[in-house]
Amino acid sequence: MLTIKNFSKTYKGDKKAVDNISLEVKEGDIFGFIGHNGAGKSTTIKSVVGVLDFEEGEILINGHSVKKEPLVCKQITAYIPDNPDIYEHLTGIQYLNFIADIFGIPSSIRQEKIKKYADAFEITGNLGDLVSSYSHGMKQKLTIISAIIHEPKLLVLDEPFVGLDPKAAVTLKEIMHELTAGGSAIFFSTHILDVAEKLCNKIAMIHHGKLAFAGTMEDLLKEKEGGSLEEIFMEIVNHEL
Amino acid sequence: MNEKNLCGLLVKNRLMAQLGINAFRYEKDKRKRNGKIAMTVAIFICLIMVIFYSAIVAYGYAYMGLGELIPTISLVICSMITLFFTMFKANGDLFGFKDYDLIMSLPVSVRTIINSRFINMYLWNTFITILVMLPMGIVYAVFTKPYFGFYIMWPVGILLASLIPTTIAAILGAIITAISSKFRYASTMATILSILLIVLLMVIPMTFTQSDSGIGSLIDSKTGNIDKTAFSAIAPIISGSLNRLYPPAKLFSSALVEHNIISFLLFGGISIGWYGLFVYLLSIKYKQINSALTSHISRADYKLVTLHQGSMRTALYVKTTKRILKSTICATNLLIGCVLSIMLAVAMVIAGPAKILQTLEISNSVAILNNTAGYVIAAMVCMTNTAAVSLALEGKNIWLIKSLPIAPKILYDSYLLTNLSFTVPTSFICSILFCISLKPGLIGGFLLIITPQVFAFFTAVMGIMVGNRLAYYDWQDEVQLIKQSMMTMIGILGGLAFVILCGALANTGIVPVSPGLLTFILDILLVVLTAVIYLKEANRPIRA
Repeated sequence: MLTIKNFSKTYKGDKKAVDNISLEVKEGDIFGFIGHNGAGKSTTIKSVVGVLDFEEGEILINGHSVKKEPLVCKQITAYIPDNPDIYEHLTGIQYLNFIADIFGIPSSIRQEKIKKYADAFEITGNLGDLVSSYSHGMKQKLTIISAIIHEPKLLVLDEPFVGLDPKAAVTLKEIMHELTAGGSAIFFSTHILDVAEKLCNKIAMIHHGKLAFAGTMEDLLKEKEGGSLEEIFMEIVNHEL
Repeated sequence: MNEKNLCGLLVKNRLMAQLGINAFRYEKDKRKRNGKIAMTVAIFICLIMVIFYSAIVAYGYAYMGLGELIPTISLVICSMITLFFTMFKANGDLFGFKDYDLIMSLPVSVRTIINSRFINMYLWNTFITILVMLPMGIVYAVFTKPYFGFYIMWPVGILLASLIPTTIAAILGAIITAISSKFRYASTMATILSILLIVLLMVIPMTFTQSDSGIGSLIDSKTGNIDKTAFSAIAPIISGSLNRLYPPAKLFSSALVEHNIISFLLFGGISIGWYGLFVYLLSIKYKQINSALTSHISRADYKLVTLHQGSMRTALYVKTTKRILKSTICATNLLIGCVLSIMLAVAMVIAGPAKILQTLEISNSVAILNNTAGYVIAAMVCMTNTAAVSLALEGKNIWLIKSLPIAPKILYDSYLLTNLSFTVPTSFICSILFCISLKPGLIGGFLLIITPQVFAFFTAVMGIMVGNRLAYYDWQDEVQLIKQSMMTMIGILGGLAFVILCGALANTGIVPVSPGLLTFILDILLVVLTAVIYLKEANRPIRA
């Protein structure tokens, strides 16, 4: 579903934020992307979803190039950023309706999906209020709902659990499982290693822009002989130092 | 650190953010850095124009023997500029500013915070005052040879001049924000109140100066020479009007012209006392006002109703229109051209063209107005160029536009539609009202309707072109984007300059073709140019 081939991203000043990484996310995968602050996770994610332009390498979504066919890619992708900066001048329902219009979701389906997910995140009653009145967590919930109402084939999330209350975090995990069971793929970054260990079937570790590991969670734990993901991550980080 | 130093620190911090000093020193992105430099150069040119214009105005008065009016006029001009520029900055600068929570959590007294915010506004306004009053003062000194007290009172006057209007503007801004914060749609209410206030502030000076000053009789109709004696005779009339409009000007003028020290001390005392009273009273209610502004009405009782599917273009159009209308800064600044044109058109019908021209002291020009009316409407309506800033207005939400499957053309179309929704109906209404007032005949009426529409489309498309080349998304507050960005300047002034250029070309006889025919030819050329630019811009990628 998502193929990243020899992807590099250099910012102004010749600093390589991401250096020649390759990885593949298949249908049904929950793929965790782990790394320290400034490792290059957000840069990679933003390039995948078309927010950032890039020069080196290739990113394909369902076989379509992000660079050459951006609209085809975006039609089947959803992105949830690390900071839920959404239109504060709209009400929650207006925002969801706006996103549904962009994806051309029929009236009955959008209504059904919005009801289902807004009830699950317990914000149905707040949908008539302006987004500017929402807390960080509520905005995060609204962003999640807007990302999944069109049933994306690829869901890309940047630190999705930050700001969510424990119940909402559980709901999100359930939704992630539900989506992958339906054939979608999920690619997400996180700093919460316990969550990654329990939730992901595949994982990639990025360190100073370079890929330190990419593979199944099973292989990683086997390779490192029974250590936890947190211990393995610390070992990689300290080894580099 | 004592309160005085803390206040200075807060002022310095705010100035650094506004001036973007760190962008000049540390910005590595050449594009952003060059943008800042270009903007600084553009502002610098505007400031030189202000100095030049002020000196010319003062020279004009001195030349006509009305030198004694210069102190009054300079103070009234500065005060009006300060009032208009500060009024809509109060909410965002003095109240409800972005880092309010951070500042209030610091060990700094409320009075120090108010002082720091007010001093910041005062410094900017005093800067403008210097640009206006210094050249006018120099001209005054050269022509009237004032007594020595002038050289002390004028500089001190410059420092005091903006205190009263800044305070009045802050109070008016506070009243608007306080009233609107009581409503569910606070920003819409604030926009309506702000526009009403602008209209009121524009009408009030007219009522003070409407009496016939007899300007027409001051120029000899046969020789065209100025009758200086007659001019000197009307000085008290003008002075009286301006003093009624802004009473502190009387004290300032009396101090400088009549050498009245008591008047000057009174002027200074009122300015400083008024400011002190304002800070004292505001410090009592400051937290309360800010709490009201930052708290939101949350009903939490929404029940899902039928949701209708719409097109992508319509969704983006509605979103963009709401974005502009729900921001008081955007709505009041971007839509003022439309409001003013409607005001003028209504006045044309009610008072008649002759009376309006007489008020503007350009009588005997009714025939010219028949030919230029289309351009007059276009000039005012084209000042509403929301298309130029629509993309930049996405700001921190730009990730959404970039990550959603939106073709650039559809996005630009939505920005165009928003712009045209304001300008097309306004132009049409104004044209009809002008037609009723001027009775221009069939062909004249046709041109009067078509010309503003053509310019409306042209400036909107130009706005898209400018916006997509100059947009930046990391702006800190809307005031910075709407009032100080290159996009707005080019979007508003560029359209205006183009209309004036075409209007002058069609009506000054440079080209030996009748104004009506030339206007028609220009309209057709402009339609073609608009279409070419639109087709070229429509598929240009969204600016990174």
